[in-house]
Parts: sequence; structure tokens; C-alpha cells
Amino acid sequence: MKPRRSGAVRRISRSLVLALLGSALMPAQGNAPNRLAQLINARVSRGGSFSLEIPNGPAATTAKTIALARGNRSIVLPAIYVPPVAPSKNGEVSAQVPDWLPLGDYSVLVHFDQQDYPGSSALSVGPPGNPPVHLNEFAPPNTYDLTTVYNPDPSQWRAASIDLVRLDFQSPGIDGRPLLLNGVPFEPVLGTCSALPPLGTQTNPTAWPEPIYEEISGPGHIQLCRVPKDSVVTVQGLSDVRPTQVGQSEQQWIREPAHGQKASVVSLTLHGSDFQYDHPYDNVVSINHIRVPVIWDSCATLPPAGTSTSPVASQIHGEVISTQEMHLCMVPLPSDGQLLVSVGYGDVSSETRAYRVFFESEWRVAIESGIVALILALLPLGLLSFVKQQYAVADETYKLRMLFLDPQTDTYSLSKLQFYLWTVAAIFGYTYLFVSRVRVQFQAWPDVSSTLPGIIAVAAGTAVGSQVITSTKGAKGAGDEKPSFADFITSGGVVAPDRLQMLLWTLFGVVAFLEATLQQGPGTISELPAVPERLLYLMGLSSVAYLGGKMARKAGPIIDEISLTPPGSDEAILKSRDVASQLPDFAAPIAAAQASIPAPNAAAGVPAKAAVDALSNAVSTAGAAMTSSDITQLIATLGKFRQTAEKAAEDAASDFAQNKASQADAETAQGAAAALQDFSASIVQAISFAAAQQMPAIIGGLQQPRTIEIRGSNLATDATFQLSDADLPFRMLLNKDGQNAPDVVVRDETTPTFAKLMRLTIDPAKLGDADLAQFRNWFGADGKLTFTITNPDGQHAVISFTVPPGIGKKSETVK
Amino acid sequence: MTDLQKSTAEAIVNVFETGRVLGNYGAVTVLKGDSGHLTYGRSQTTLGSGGLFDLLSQYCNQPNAKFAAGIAPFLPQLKAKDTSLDTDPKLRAALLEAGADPVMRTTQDQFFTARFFAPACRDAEAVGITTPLGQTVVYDSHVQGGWPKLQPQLGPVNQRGEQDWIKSYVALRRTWLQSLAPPLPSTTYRMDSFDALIVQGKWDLALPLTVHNIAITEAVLNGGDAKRVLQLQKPYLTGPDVVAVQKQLAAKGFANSADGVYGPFTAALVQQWQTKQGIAEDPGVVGPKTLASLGL
Repeated sequence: MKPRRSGAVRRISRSLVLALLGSALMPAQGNAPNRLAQLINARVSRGGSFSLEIPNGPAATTAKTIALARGNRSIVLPAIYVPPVAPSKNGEVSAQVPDWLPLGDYSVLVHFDQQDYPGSSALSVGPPGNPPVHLNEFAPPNTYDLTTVYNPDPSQWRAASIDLVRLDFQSPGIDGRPLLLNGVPFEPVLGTCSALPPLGTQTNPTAWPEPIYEEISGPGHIQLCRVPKDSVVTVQGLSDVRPTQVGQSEQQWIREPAHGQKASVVSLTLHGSDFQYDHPYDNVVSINHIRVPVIWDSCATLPPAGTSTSPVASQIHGEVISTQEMHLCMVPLPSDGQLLVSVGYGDVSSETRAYRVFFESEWRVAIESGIVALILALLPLGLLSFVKQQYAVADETYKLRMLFLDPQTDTYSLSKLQFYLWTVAAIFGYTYLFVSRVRVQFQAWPDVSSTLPGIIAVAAGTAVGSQVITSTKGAKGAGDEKPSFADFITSGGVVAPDRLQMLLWTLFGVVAFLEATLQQGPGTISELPAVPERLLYLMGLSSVAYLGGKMARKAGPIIDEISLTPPGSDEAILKSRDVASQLPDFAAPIAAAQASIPAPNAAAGVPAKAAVDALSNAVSTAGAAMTSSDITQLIATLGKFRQTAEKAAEDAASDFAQNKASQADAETAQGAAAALQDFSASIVQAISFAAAQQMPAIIGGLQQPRTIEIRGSNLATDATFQLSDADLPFRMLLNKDGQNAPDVVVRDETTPTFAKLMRLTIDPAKLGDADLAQFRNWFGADGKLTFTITNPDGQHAVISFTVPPGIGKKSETVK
Repeated sequence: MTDLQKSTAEAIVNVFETGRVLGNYGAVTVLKGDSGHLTYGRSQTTLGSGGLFDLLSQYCNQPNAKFAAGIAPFLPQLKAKDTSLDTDPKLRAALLEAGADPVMRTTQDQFFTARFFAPACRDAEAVGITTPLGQTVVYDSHVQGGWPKLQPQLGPVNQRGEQDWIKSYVALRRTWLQSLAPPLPSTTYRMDSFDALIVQGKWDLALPLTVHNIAITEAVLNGGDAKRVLQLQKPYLTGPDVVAVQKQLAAKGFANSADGVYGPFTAALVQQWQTKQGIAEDPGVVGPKTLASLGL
């Protein structure tokens, strides 16, 4: 583990130590009264010279130096002295500022042999021109981008050992120069290597990082002790000076961080003037009024952020892009998220500017607001979920979409859409503002903008006005059977320009409002964007145009219910006819056969009895046939009876021929068999006739008139009709007066040209071939039919129904 | 198709329609529906369709029509399709009697041939059906109905060959009849009979045939001929010629009640007579020799 040294270059301390050691450069204390040396030029740049006038200066000096002190540190510079030239009594002493000297204000002390001459004022070492530094702005002015790092947690550590070495530097120009540890300036602690605090032990390790100590051994000679082994220490500007290790390495037990503390750091870009570009380390950065150490390398390549188990002590890194731009990164974030930043050099500082860090990003706030708005918007839908009923239109159930449906027409309502859109947009906008102000900016509960209520008022007024017009003047046409998004711009299936323009203005207004809201970042937003007054005025006009169009337009047709009589298809009607009425009539054959049955005592022999029994049984069986299945089986059964009777007749005849049976028996058996043959034939004929009764209807179709009854509102008496996309022309209709027209059963009292109940009767017997074929196509077989009524103004209504049951409803509430 | 094949085809459909080879020319019934009502004849023509008027008009125009005088007064009502005729007992009685008139039979044969048989043959030939059995199937579909509805569903005949096509058509028709309202499903015995003929390979309607347990022979087909050969067959032959034979037998000492049925008992009597007289003719068959021996 390598220690990191913070702080700017301040290598003047060693010179101060040398002075304290009582060298020749040390100003005499009390040997002569101090007299002030007048600075001739109070501002100087690195490499430049400065001079002081020495009142009553000596004629000559053997040693002369100028010590520059800043804080408790000083550096001694060799000086050139020019004695007084008569008549002047003042001498002049001058020195050159080293090119590595840190910028800042220095007190000056001129030392001549045993006499000191304090400078009359401070010497300001600065960049050429000593310009003021300005911090104008941050770009961007704030940020939402936080980076998480893990810094060592001092409370959680484990003992670890590192090797420390002692390095010896000897070079004439080394005094006062900054030292670099692994290329980064650092400032050791002055001390004596032989009298340092005790090293940490395994059981009592020391905190880390430990300071590196510097011992001034003499002019041009220093030693650094407790330098981590393998560290590279160099002297700024003296790259050829290499230290030598003194003695053996020491083992130091330190507290190695065992756990990281999560912290946030941010990056910021500063724009201003006169940043120190050539010597970045001259820049002085203060954050929240505390001067912070900055490693001036690059923000492009940063050390790892660490992890919870392997933390890394984060340090601020900086990069000067130009004298007008500077990047700072890995800047620790205070809990309030505010950074008060100033930049300067030496003792010159820019104005302090606040840089705001928001813990919640713009998108996060937007998403949070969106979720809140969504939840609020869905709240009514959630409440609807507790309602077990649903709205069914054309076999499709609607529950959530009920909010947008106009129950009168089963269409999507534009005024409701407008109202909901603006309500949701307002909720979103105000939530965005609320979250931004309260959670991001830590401000009070914000007020709403003055124009937002106006918009809501326009939307609400439109919705209410629309309902009022619908109630008084009648609804628009229902259009297609199922609601579709086209309903927003159509009225009864016809595009209505007034609806179209209002939809467009609504969408534009809502999108523009959201866009304007989101354009204001959560860190800076103070109120919702005000809708421009003229836009508000325009939207009001749009709503007026919409309501005006609604007023001017005729009410459109709405079909609440449709019914077909008879409700079944031809095919179904044929099948469902009373089975008994369809069965063959066996009465005549049975009567005839019963008359043929001989008297019980007519047959004495077994064969004759068998023949008679077969006939008798056949008649009984036929009489008991009540179902279609019975009839089907009857034919086969009669065949068996007939065979039995015929066999009996043959047996009886054979017996007769052999004188085993009487003539009467043989003749009775023959008669019974013949009667059974006739009976069977008659039964077949009866069945065939009964079948023939059905066939014309099956082949040619039923001649059953159909009546379609529609109940609703605004049903124009001169409307046109379609059934399953095929025209239902007036010529196919037949009203009670014998005219080719529908029957108006209930007329609309306020608008006589409208009907509330209309009946359309179609008699297939009166149709031509083409119309009859269409009639069969509609009603021949079970299926779904779609009925359309189109009023003269083009508004239409559609309703579907199935055959059977031949009933359709516009919409209904289902569970 | 020869005349005999035509007669056979008609006989087959007669069996289907009336249970009798020669049909029931005097059948009178009433069918429901606008196109039904009073129905008459071997292949049923109806009052509602106007066919009954046409048939009876033709009959009444025949010079030898025995019952024209009883039927002619109803012709105006028949033309007007007056449904009150459905229950008119006089007309019903006249029609029943006329069914036994050979003129009526001839008129009906011509009428139904023109109405059903000829169009059926034309339709059959139009689609490439040439075998007598195939044409009989088509004829049956015209009499009972359904040919225009079902024929297009099977595609061209020449694609699969006539016999295969006819088999498929009979199967399709069976399925269709079964799907219809009662009592049409019970008429699938027609298809059973056709299937049996197809299995027997009776494509040329060679006699004898058995259809729906009823034998069709050339002798049966000649039933209207006064000089037909009487023999035992099923259904039993009946008619005046049978009665005449029975009466002569009775007169010769072979007692019977002359019921007009040429059944096993009558055949046994004939055989006894033949044996007694030594008549060299098939036993139990009344041919020319037997008739002559009986003085007929």
C-alpha cells in the first residue's frame, strides 16, 4: 500500500529550518534595529526579479540574502546588493524568484550580514500580470450524475505490514524544491529520523496513511524517512537527482481498511478566466470554503472507485483544459448536494459559485411523476375492477375502456378523451413539479401555474357541453358496431372536421405541455410552464368549434336492439318443425292392413298363425312409430315381418299340398302375406310422400317472410339499409300497406323524420331470383348477420346478431 | 338406355316412392306447404306446384279417359290452386278410381317422363353419366330432389370416372339426407338399394333385380299386360287375371276364395291342376298351356 500525499507544493519549509539552524542566512536578532526595506516592485512573476530599497544601506556587505516567508515557511534567496550612490543614502537589493516558487503573497526579509531589513509590504508572486481569476459558470450548471465510490471506513480495518525505507538526497539546488512521490507532489513532515514516533505493531497498528518525515541534514542535503518501499521520490526540476537508501527497511504495521464506505462523487466543468494552465498545481480550489487538494492529472483516467471490500481513498483530480476551462472530478458530495466552489492561485481567489447536485436524475423524477400520474389515472380503473359488471358490445366485453365509451352510442368519446388527457397531463406535470421542488430542491409545496386550471376548465366545459348537447339535440350516429379509435374523428362513421381539429389541438396541447414541463430540470424548475394565453384562447375556440359542429350536425342513428322474426334460419326452422307433424301419416295403410287381418279363429295351423301374427305385429309396430328413428327402423322391421309371413305362407301352402293343412289355413297365410306386402309398400309410400313434403323447402328454401325490427333513436325513415355488407333495397321490403318501404312503428315525436321503432318485412315469395338468392344467403343457414342503417347525411349505425336467436343488442351490462 | 332399362329405372324409383314396382297411380295424399297440398299419382304431382292441374288436364283431354267426367269439373279450381280441394271427397274418390284406368297410367307415365325422367337423362348426359344405373341415380335425385344442390359438390365426372363418381354421389346424398329434417333421414333406404346394385355391378340394370326387398323382373314390368305369365314372386302378383285363374280352378274342383293373390297357395293349386292334367309347363307357372287348359 502506497501512501498518497495531499496538498500543493510547499517546499519552503526546509529553508525555514535552515534559517532556524543559525546559518549565515539567518537574520540577526536584536543586533541592529530593524529598518524597513521598501519594495520597489510589489508584484513579480516566477523567474522575475524584485528589488527593495534599503534606507541607509551599508556601503558593502559580505553576505546578503532575501528570505521570503509565507505562513510559517520561508525560502532564502541569494541577493544582489547595490550600495547607496551619493547623494542617495539608500542601497538597493534584488533577487530572482525561482521558477518553482509557489504563487502567493510572501513577506520579505532582507538580511545583510548581521542586519535585517523587513520588507515594507508583501511581495506578491503570481502569474504574469497577476490577473484576477473569475469563475463564471458551470457547464452544465448542475448535475444528476453521481458516481459511487467506496472510501476506507476508519472504523473497520485489519493489521497489515508494509516496508518503509530511509532515503538520502544530496544536491546543491535541492533546498526548497518540491518533492514528488510517484510523480505527485507531496509535503513531508519535518522531523528527525532518529526521533520519530514509534512504529505500529501488529497488535497496535497505526492509522494509514502515515506521514513521510523529512530531516534537514544541511544545505543541499535532506533525508526522507518512512518512505514506502518501492515508491519513487524525485525532486521537481532536478530529475537527475536520485536518492540512496540508508540502512535496512523497517516493517510498519498499519491499519489497512477492511471495508469501504459508500460515498458519492461528482464531476464538474468550470468555466471562467485565468485558470493556471501552464502550472496546474498553481490552481487553488476551494470547495465549501475549504481549500482542497487536487491531483492535477486527468479526469479521463481515474483510479478505481473501489468496492465495499476493497475501498480506495478517493481524491479530487483535476485537469486544466485551458485558461477558461477546468475539469474537476471525484469531488466528494456533501449531504446537502451543494458545492460552493472558488478557484484561484496563491492568495487570489475567484468569486464563489454554487454547483447544485441533485440526487435524483431528470428521468427518474419524470418516471416517478409518470408512475404517480399513471397510478392516479388508473385509480378509477382499479375501482372499476371491483365492479363485477362489464360492458359488452357485440360480444366483446369492455371494462377499463368503459371510461372512454359513450354509452349512448357505444363509441369512444372525444370530449372524454380530451378531459382525461388534460387531467392526466396536469397530474403528471404537477407531480413532476412537486417531486422536483420537494424531493430534489428541498423546497416547499409548490403552487400550480395560473393557466393550468384554465385548460382543465376548457376540457371539463367541453365534456359537459358535449353531454348537454347530446341530451337536448340527440347523439351522434353510432357508426360501426364496435368502438374504434376512428370514433374520435367521426360522427356516425362520417369524418367530422370539427372533431378532427379538436383532437389535433388537444394532442398538440398535451404534448407541448409535457414537453415544456420536462424541459425544466428537476433541479431548477420552480413552477409549471404557463400555457400561452393565446394558445389557451385557441383551445377554447377549438372546443367551441367542436361543440358548434355537434350542434349543427343532425343527430345520427343509434340502434339499441334488433330482432329477427322468425329467429331461426330456414335450415333450422325445417329441422325444428314439430317432428310429429313431419312424420308420415300411416293411418290409411294401418286401417287397410287391420281390415286384412283375419279373425283370430281363421287360422288353425302354425304357419297360418305365424303369417297372421306377422301381419298383426307389423301393423302394431307401424302404429307405434312416433319418431324419425322409429320410422327408419320400421322399414327394416317390416321387411322382416314380411319375410316371416311369406315363409309362413309358403309353409302353409306346402302343408296344404301334403294334406297337412286346410285350404283355409293356406289361403289365410297367403292373404296375410299379401296384405303385409301391400302394407309394407304403403308404408314406404307414406314415408316417401312425407319426405317429399320437406324437400321443396329444403331445395327451394322456405317461403317464410322475415321481419327485422330495429329499436333505437334517430332512425331516419328514408335511411338505407344493408345486411351483412349487401344492400337491402326498398324493393325487397313490404310494409303493411303493401308498399316497398319499412314500417315506422314508433315515430320520434320531436323529429318526425326519425323513427324509434322500425320494422322491415321481406317476403321471399315476392322476390325476384337475384333478391331471393340474397335472401337465402342471409337467412338460409345459421350464422351472424350485420345490419347497417345509414341516414341520408351519411351517419350510420351498425349492429350484429346471430341467427338464431335473432336478437342483437347495442350494448349491455354483463357479469 | 333401352325401353326395358327405362322401365327398370322407373320401376326402381317406383319402389322407392310407393313400395311397388309399377307404382301407385291412384295414390292421393295431402302435403303441407305452399307448393304441396293435394298430391296425386305415381310420382306425386301437387296442387301447389300446378303440376296436378297439368296432369289432370292431359288426362281429361284423352278420348278414352273413363273418369274424365268426374275430374273435369274440378279443373278450374285445380288451375287456381284452390287448397279447399285438399279435403274434397269427390275429387279424392275420382282420383282413386282413375288410378286404375290404363289411360291415366299412360298419361302419368308420359307426364312424369317429361317432368322427371327426360330432364334427368339430359342432366346425366350433360355431366357425362351414361350408364343406366348412373342415370337412374340421377333420375331418383330429380324425383326426390337435390340434384342441383349436390352435383356441383363433387366436381367433374370424368376426373374420377363415372362409377367412382356415382359411388361418391350416393354416399354424399346419403349424408345429406341424414342431415335433413325428419322423415328424410329415413329415406336413405334409396341409397342402400343403389349401393347394393353398385356392389352387384348392375350398371346396365340387367334383370332380374331386387330393390328394397322387391324383385323387379321383366314379367313384373309387364304387369299391365293382360297376357302376362303368372308365377310365384314377391310381392305376389295380383290382379284380375289372377282372379280369373283362381275362379277357373275353383270351378275345376280346386276350392279357393279367389282373393286375387298369386301366392304360394294359388301356386300350389295351379301345380296340382297341372299335375292332374299332365300339363308340360313349369310347375306353378301359369303360361299359355295352363291358361288354355283352364279355358282362359
